[in-house]
Amino acid sequence: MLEAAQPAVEVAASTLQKIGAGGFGAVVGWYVYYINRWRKDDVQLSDIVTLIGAIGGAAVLALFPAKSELFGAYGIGLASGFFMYFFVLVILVARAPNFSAAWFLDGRAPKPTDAETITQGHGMGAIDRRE
Amino acid sequence: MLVSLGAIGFGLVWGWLLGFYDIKPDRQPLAIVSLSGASVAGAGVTAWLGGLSTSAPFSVAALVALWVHTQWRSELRKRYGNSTNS
Repeated sequence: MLEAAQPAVEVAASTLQKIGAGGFGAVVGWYVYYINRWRKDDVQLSDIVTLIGAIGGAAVLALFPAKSELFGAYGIGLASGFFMYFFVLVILVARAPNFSAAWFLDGRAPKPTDAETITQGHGMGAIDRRE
Repeated sequence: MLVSLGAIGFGLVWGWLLGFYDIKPDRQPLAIVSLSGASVAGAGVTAWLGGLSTSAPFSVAALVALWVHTQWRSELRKRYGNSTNS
C-alpha cells in the first residue's frame, strides 16, 4: 500500500555502469563504420536502417532503459567509436607512403611494387588460406 | 545532460552516414524522400528513448555532421577529381 503511493524513483546509474554503456557504444560505433567501409556496393537505405537498429534495437533497449543516463552514455560511446575509426583511418592514410586523401573518395592507392603481390584474402580476415 | 550529449552523439553519427550518399540525379526525388523519412524515424527513435527534448540536439548535430561531411567530400573531389582507372 505504502509502496503503491510512492512515486517511482529511477535509480541513478553508477560510474562503472556508465563506463560500461559507453564502452559498449564505442564497440558498436567502431563496427558501424567498419561495416560501412567494407560494404560491397553503394550506400543503401538498409545501412541507415542498421543504424536505427543500433540506436534503438531490442538489445539496446533491454540493456539501457529509455531516458536513462545509460542511454546517454551509450550514445556518447557510439559517436566516440565511430569517429575514432575515422580518425585512425585519417592518420594511417596520412602516414602511408604514396597514399593521398583521394583514398577516401574511391579507394585510390599506389600500385604494388615488384616485390609485392595482392592476395585474394582480406587484410584482417580470420580465414586461414595457407592449406 | 548526459542524455542530451548522447543524442548529440547519435546525431553526429547519423549525419555523417547520410553524407556517404552520392545521389544520382535520376534517383534524386526518391532518395531525398527515403533519407528524409529515415531521418525523421531516427529523430523519433531518439526522442522516444531520450525524451522529446533530445530531438533538437539530435537534429542540429545531424545537420552539422552532414554539412561537414559533404563539404569535405566536395573539397576532395575538387582537389583530386575522379579516378582515371577504368
